[in-house]
Amino acid sequence: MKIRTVGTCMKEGFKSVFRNGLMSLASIGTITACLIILGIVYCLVMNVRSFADSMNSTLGMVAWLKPGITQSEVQEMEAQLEARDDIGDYRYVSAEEAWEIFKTDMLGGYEISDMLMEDLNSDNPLKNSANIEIYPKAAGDQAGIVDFLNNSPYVRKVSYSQNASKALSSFAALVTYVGVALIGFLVFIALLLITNTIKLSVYIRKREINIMKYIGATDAFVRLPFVIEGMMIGVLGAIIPTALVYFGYDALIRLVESRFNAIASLFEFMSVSAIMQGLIPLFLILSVGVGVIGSSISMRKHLKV
Amino acid sequence: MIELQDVTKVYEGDVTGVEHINLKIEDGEFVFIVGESGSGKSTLLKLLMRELVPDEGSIIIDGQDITKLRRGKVAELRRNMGIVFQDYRLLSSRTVYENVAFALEVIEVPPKKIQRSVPAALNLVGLAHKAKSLPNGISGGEQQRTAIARAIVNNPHLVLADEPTGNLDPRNSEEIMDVLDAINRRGTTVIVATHDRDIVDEMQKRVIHIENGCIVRDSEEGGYDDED
Repeated sequence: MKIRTVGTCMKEGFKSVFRNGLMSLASIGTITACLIILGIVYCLVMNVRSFADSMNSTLGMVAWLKPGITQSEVQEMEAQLEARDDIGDYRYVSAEEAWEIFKTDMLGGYEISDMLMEDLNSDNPLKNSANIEIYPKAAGDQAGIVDFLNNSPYVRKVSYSQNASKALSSFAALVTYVGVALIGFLVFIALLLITNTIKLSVYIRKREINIMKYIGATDAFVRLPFVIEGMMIGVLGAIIPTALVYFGYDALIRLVESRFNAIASLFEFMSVSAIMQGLIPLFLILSVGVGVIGSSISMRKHLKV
Repeated sequence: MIELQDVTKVYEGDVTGVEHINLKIEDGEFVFIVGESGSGKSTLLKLLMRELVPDEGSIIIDGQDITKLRRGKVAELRRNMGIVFQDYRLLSSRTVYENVAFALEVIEVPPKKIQRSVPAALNLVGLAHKAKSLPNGISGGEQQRTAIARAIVNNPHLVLADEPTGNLDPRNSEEIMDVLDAINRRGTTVIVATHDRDIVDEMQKRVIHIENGCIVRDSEEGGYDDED
């Protein structure tokens, strides 16, 4: 298809949006409503997931290293951890460091005779306590890391809180599933509305389509103005939700941070830019996709001439 | 050349459209397909324009079996044929010129060529002076001539006309047939489905008579009811 023709088809598509005034407005309105709900659901899902991930990453695990592990073996172990992309952070704690921490944290308040302390220092009671503290990047990463550690020849035991991690992962997954189902439902409603608007447009131009087909227009040529009309409705329907989510979400974060310190200290909201980075492409794909699919469905019958 | 080999089309509900049609039409011929309403004339034209696909048989146009044509290729086929309907099928919001130009726009002909071709087609049908009129502002005969100009503006090899005089009075009918005859004289094959006895008798061209979907007569030259 020639560029000039695409330009003509685009003009026709634009004109149709205005020609079908009220129906277009109804479709744009429905898409707007759907996308606003979708935006809210998206913000909710993303924040819950982010919260679950951040909580999970604080639920570190400890890999207790085998007694007598050499420095080079520790280095090799560290290299293996470095190579994994599911590990957010890790820290090697030698037996000596473990004893120092123990002394500070546990024995700090007790009076122990110098002689005993000298004995303890010369024969480290935590000599088998060299370990690596590991923090996974996200919820759900824990199981894989535990599996890796259990199979490592340098690890004798892995300590971690399985239940808390599982609960957080399940909660995040549940919120995601509910969110996706809701989004799917809203997309379906929007698709139905756009299909109806384009059907009206096709009906108005039925005669023209019929003539076009008889004089040798290709299906693509006939379809393009309607596809563009559908896309236009979709994009116009996405403008208000995008702005509303952007400003609304930003205002909400500021409100919580200024008025509800307790929540703000417990919960770190995702930034507006992080939310918009995911939401704008999603809005665009959905609105344009719904427009294209909706118009294709409406056209099918009329192209069979 | 057009060749139909044992073509049968049966509609839903076991209604016969056409049955075992065998037919050859040479390039440049003028052919009337006659018969009563529901006899199968329009079915035959719809098969030729590939609006319908036969249940049996093959339809060969210029060496190509159009029954085996993919849907995407139908547009290409139709660019080589002009189609004229009883109800003109003009766009009421466009002028005579724009209606004719529309046929070239949809097949992406460059604007300069459109500007040359449309006046030529309007001249041929005698409507150059009505180029700026809207369809509602001209007579039925002129509307049909506009439709014919639209059908021939792309210089097709074949023109198919389904009851082109069905909505016209005798004088306008005669004018339309004169235009179609002129187009035929330029070498274009013209096939006209009609039940208008007067124009068939007047023109004395090849007549194919269809009854109940079957060809009952194929006269090289003659009137509506002539016997071979």
